[in-house]
Amino acid sequence: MNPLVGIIGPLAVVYCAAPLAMTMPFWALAFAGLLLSWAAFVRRLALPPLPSRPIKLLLVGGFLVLLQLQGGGLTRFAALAGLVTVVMALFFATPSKPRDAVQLAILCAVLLFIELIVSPSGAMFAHALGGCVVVAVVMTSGAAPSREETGRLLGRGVVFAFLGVPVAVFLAFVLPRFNGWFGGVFGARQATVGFSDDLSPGEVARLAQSDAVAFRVRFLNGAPKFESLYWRGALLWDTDGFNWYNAGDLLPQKVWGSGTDKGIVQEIFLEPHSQRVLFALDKPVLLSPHEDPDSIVGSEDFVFERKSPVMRAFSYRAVSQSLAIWSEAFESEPIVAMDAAHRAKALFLPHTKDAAALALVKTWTAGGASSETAVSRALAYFASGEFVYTLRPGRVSGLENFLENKRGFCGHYASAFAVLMRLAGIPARVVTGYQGGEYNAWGRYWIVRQNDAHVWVEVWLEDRGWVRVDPTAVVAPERLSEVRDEELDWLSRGMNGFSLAWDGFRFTAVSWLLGAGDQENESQVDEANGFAQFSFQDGQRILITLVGLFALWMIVRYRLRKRVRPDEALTAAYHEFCEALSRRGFTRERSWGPYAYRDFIVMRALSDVVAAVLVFDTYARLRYGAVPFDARDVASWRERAMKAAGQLRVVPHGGFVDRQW
Amino acid sequence: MWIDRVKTVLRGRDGRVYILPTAGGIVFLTALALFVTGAFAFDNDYVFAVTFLLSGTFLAGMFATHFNLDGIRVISVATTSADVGGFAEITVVFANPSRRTRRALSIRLGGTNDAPHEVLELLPARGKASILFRVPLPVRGVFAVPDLRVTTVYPLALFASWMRLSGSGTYCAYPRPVGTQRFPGGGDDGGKRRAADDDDFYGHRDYQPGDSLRRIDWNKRAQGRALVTRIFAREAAVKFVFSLRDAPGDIERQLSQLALWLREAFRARRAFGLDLPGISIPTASGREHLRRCLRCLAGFGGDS
Repeated sequence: MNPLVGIIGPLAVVYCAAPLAMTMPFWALAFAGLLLSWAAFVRRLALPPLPSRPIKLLLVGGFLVLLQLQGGGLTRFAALAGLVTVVMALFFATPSKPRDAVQLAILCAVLLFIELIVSPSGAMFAHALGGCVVVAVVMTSGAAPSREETGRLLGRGVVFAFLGVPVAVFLAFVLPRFNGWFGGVFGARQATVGFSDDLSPGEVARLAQSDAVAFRVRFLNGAPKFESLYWRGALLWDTDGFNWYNAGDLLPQKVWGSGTDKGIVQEIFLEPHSQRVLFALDKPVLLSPHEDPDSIVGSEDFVFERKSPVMRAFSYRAVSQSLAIWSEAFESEPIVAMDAAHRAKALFLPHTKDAAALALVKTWTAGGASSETAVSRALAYFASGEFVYTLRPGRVSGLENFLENKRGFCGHYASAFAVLMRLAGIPARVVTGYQGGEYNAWGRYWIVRQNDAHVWVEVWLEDRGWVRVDPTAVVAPERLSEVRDEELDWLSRGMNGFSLAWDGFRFTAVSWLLGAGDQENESQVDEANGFAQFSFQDGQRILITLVGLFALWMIVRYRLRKRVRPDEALTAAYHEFCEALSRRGFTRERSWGPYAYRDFIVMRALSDVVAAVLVFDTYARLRYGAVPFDARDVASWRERAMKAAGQLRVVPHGGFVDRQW
Repeated sequence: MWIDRVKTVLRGRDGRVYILPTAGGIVFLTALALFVTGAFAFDNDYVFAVTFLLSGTFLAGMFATHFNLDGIRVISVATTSADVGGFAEITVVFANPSRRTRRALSIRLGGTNDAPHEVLELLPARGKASILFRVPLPVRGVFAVPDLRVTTVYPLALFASWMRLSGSGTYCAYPRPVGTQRFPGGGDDGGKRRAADDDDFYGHRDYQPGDSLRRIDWNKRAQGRALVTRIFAREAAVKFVFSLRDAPGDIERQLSQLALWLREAFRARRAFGLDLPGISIPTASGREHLRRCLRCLAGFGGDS
């Protein structure tokens, strides 16, 4: 051990905890600060040492309870950082063994890890690189010989930190990332596939080939049936006759400041997709982000967007209510009549008169059929069996071409259906989003992937409002059914199971650490066991009192301690030792010095005398030697002496030892 | 002070260096594994980078710990012997033939955990350094210097490497010079007073209870020294051959008594010899002779 570690230790804690200081609970900070200053000055000011291990463990336990109490106000990472800092300050700030130094270094690394997870930025990365040097310096100073120049010691730490560079480069190469390294280091990694704001029907096929995760969902109050897992994304109003887009010039955006919270509650963890659109179960009435509450805007059409593109993972809570859908019975709901502007927009078609399409639509509206009848007829037309669902329909140039070939997938069907509805005079619009998902039993949540991307249609029925119609569902019902495990071969099943387990672990850990879903659980717990009376403030007060008492106790100990010179202490300890020996039957003549007494004991002891001989020898060296010593040496001598005295047994009847020695 | 100096060049029987991670090293590695898992889970390249950097430090530490030990040799072992209850001193000289300075070597004499243990803080490049062990001597005997175990956790304490170097040479725990009997068969009693008086002054020896008060050197006592007895040339010329038969008690007592007589004879500068069952040492005098005799007593009854 190098004595410098007494200074390096506290400094290392300060360096590594500094970036997290603001997120940590302040009492943790105050407590750690107190302990660190104590550790830093314990030698210089001859302060009493920190309390024993059981008391330290009790303090840590109390700290854990307080963290639990504060709960909701803290992310798990902030709590963890506070805990780690306090443990470091309590146990390892002034390592006394190389092993302690290693533990300190590891905890430093844990803090670096947390800070990089909490705020992955270039500045934080630079700090963490410095932190790697700190970690190495702590370890080298723990293992270095006690006489070593400071410069050399620190230099060696720097060298060892950067000896890691070649290995780091090597590992970066053997562990290639799908998205490449630099996207992550120099800015948030962006999703390479994802929705764009418009729909060219062919585009969905590109999405269908990616099994990248779009988002993960946890249902908090029960999941709906698989068939109704329609994840609503964007609404498209405008069309050129085949492609759909949003001119976005008409609809007023309404901020959903308040709304009902009755419905299906979901926690959604969205992967970055560089767009603004947010997904939720159809139809979402309320979206609230886990952080930054003002970042979401919603419209009257149950479409939610983020104010800025989602460049990093983003999580929010959504409340959805059941939407009127075509196949289900009518649900009475107050219908707000559509205004003229919207109606016009929902019926607008460019002037491309397609004779075949017009003829087709005429058959649906023939005989003054109602809108509902027309929709039924249209669905029956698509369900007739002539249409083929395929992700490789070949080139589809437009509506006419599609109706001729009768080959396509959801994009084509939704687009064509909506255009035909408008031709029939029924207001229609296209919805993009996802359908279905994969249930992960490991973490009890749903994974929605890019290949779950889906497009469907909403039509306006005068007495029901906007109703969801999914033409793909009638063309290819199997497209919308859940893939069961039994249908896969064993290898795929195994691989799938493994990747689900890993994803489950990942998701659970991340969502737990980010503290999502806490409020809900806590309020439930509070109601359940009446824990609510004991508030966080109470806990805080108790902790501050505890810390105050602790400080007071340390000060009192410091004040009460007698200032004894080491040589006096040694003499006193020697007398104590002699008394202990005479209690055990080795009575000392007053004139005997340590060596005479030692020889007497060697002659009279039945038991092993080596420990006692060494104790005498050390005493003589301390007492009469030229080497200075301090109170610690005396304390350790006293400890060994009393232990040795306890082991001695005298020969009975005052005889000498009659044994082989 | 009797020094057995054994100059030998020892290459460790196997100077092979073994290495294992310390408990701290294992925890460190576990932490790294958790960091990598976390980096995957959070998809965080910064965490990857820092974890890889720390892994590099870990590996570098392994090599550095190995090379802190590799190639160290013992070039000499010197021992001093002492009486039972005292300490033998074993001085081991290490050589570092390489151009790397070795630091923080922990050296243990013998394999057990309570074996004497010293730290060699620095072993300079192309240089030597010595370590002094003080070995307590609780039992009489002649002992071989045990093998040395050199351990180091330097520089990061993530790994511990160790090597064994065979010891060489012996050290003795002489019987304690304790006894109640006076010099046997000597011419030291009052009856020889006149003859002794006639003699030339030869020297001093320690006072023994029973010595004639007239023969105590009171001048020396007046100078504040311990009690010494004067001896004279004719006494000095007497040769003594000590035998177990002359000493009372059990064998250890007897040997202690002989040890005392040998010392006294040596201090009195007389010729002395030993006659033990199976061994006899002809009379001679001098420090080297005394050592030989004491060693014989130390090893008496043992294998040597």
